[in-house]
Amino acid sequence: MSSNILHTFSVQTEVETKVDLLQHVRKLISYGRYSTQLSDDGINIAFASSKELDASQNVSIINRSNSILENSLAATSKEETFTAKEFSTRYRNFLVTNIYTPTLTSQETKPLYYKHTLPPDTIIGSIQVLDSNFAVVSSYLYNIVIEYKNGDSLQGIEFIQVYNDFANYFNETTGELLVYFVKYRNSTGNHSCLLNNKPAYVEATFDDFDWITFEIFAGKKAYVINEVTDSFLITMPEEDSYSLRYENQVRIQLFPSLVNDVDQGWFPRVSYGSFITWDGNEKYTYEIPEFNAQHFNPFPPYKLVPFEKIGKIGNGLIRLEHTPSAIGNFPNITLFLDLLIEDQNENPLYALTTNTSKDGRVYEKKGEGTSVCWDTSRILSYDNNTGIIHVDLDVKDYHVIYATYYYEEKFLELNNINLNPLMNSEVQSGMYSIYLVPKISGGGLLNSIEWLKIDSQGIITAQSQEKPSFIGWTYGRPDISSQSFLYRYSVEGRSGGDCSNNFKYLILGEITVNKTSDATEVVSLDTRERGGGIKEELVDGLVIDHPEVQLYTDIGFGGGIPFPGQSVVVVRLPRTLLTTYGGRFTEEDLKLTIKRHLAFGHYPLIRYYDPNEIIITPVAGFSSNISGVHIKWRGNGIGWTASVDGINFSNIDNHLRYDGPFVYFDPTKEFDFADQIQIKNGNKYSNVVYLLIR
Amino acid sequence: MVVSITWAISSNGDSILDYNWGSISSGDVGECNEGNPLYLRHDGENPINNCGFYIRPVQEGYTGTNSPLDDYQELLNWGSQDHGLLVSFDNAVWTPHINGAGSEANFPISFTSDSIIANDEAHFWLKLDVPTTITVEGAPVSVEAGIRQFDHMFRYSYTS
Repeated sequence: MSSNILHTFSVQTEVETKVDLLQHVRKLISYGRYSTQLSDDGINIAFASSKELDASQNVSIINRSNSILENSLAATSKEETFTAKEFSTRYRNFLVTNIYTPTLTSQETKPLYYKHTLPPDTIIGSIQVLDSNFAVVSSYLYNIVIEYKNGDSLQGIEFIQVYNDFANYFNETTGELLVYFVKYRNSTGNHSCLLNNKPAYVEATFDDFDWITFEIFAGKKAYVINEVTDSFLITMPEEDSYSLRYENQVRIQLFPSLVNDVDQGWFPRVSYGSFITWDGNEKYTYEIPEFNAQHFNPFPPYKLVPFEKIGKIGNGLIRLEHTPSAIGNFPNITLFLDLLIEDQNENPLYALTTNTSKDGRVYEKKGEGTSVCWDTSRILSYDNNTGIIHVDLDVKDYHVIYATYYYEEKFLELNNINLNPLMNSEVQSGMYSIYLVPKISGGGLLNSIEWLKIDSQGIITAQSQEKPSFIGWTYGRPDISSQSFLYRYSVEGRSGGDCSNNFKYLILGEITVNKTSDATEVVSLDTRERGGGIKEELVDGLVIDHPEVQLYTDIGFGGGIPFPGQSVVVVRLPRTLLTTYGGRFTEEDLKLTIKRHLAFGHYPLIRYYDPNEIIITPVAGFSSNISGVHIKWRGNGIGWTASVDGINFSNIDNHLRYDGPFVYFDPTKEFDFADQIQIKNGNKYSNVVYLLIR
Repeated sequence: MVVSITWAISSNGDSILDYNWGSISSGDVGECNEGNPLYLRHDGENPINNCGFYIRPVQEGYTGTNSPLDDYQELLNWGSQDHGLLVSFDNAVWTPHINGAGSEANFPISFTSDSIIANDEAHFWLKLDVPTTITVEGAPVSVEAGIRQFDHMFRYSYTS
């Protein structure tokens, strides 16, 4: 049997209660890190910093290069088609192709301007293109073409070409990375490599010509270009349907410097392009002849970049700064890439190269350090267009990578304009205008890129062009006549009338270097530490060898080192100062007061006089029986009497001379030896002077 | 003759049919009747024997958060880990209701004195120890908030 009682309980998992909240606000403790070590005898005084100089922030470029239609994006962004063997264009830099995407009935075919080259023994069925996510790209977006030697199938396969219109992409600011890989299989196994495109058609070289027929070999993807009357004439190997597109850099434009470091020069660049305009009478060719006068290595248009510090952009991916890079086989030459990878202590870790002749050889760093061997197996592939290199290496963020390589120069660097304000102090005082002088029919120029320096008032203060002189002209508005550069010489100015402008200079852009911070933005922190100074017991010993310790105000003499004087001064004071004579001071008081006012080392002799007393002082020696005795005393010139031996001297007034503050008594009487002379004035008496025989 | 059992919260007090412990926070121990004993008495002429306590799922009128069976099993699980419903006959030694001891009529927690004589009272104390976490399959699981209910059963035998 049983009996029950129902129990109920509630489980509470949070307890709500009110508490008083006391808020402590504490200053955040922050630590500054000094990037420079002080020497042992250095003393912290202050830390000062300001905003770092940065070309991308400080330099601004206003683009005016599109003021000629042919140099504008609108004119160069369109695609053209032609069915012929020859065509004319106003631009020298273009892409042309007669290879299109495989036919898909629902879509029209697209031209494929680039090709990625695979070895001749590639198994065509194994070829795949992968995107950044390693997803297989549709085979309808590219076309695989077999290229035979000299265009003759009987001579065998020269290359397998994957024609495409893809492009690897890396944005340095956002870090966005898009890369394509090409996978294939050949006699040596499976491979995958970065998409490394070259243009579908290139300008013909010596090897492209059949020197019997003086024609380009059929099947060769090359063209010939000739400058004719008002354009460039392009001759293709054969008549076919072609599509044409202009390269991004076909236009001549101003670009900022490639380098951003404060300790290097900031030289603006001009893209190497060429185009022709025609105004019905004259042909104007805009080109940059000085481009070919640059220093190339080994030959134009290639330049060498030694030990460039580069960075990682993705897993196993690094990127060269100068593009397009020139790695691999080129007409008449093979160019190599070397990569040296060090740790943060400058110890070499890896030495990679594409130069097979270096394989296994020891790389030795100058000075101390371990040596590593050159390795040709770890540079897996590269894309010359973007400078992206795929390496078989886990590249760490702390690795320091130096690349030595060649690149194809696409710019002219203006080495005579340094925009770095630390190196060119005048660069912030005005504006630079960079312009291009065209070649006019039949003419020729050595230099076409020139510059002007314009001050804040819009007046031209300097120029590079030899003549004419624009100094003192206004840079000006294009509608003002007379001495306005824009009006008289640039393509933006008006022509006709009294100022016909046939010069048609193309202003590429205006450059200013701005100040992004000033003195008020300098941050300074007092980093002095308490303590220091010289220990008292060491001062005497230090003064001899280091007299500068006396500059410390607490131990040194700022006003000079005192020396004790050695003299006696007689101080005469009236007796009436003394308390014994009704005054307020004792003799001790007066002694102390005097000492206070005397320099150290001076001894006072204090003599008290009766202010009522007349002190007479003989002026000259005395002798009896000699006239002309002079006696002088302090006083005014009236009321004096004198006594000699107690007898009043009569008629003293005739013998007195007052020459303040002294009275002179010049009696003609002859005095006897030991005569006593006393001077009186009212109730005042002088001391008695005894005449002595001299 | 049918013996009737009376539960009370005071000696010879009025009968109670249920008891509400109120809110117990996880990690705390609730004391039934504020730490005072509860009382049991019967009206049989003879003593009742084989006295013991056990718990069972609520049979009807369940108003808890989960289910009668969940609450029952949970309480036994707590007991197995030294928490749960604890009974003492001397307010000194406490015994939890666990599986096999206080979980059903055949496995009660026996009274220390096995019989209650007629018109006498047995008294006992109850505590509810609510854990914050309980180990389930080797892993700690937090005890969730909610209303639980269980029937506290008194088992006995009577011979008239």
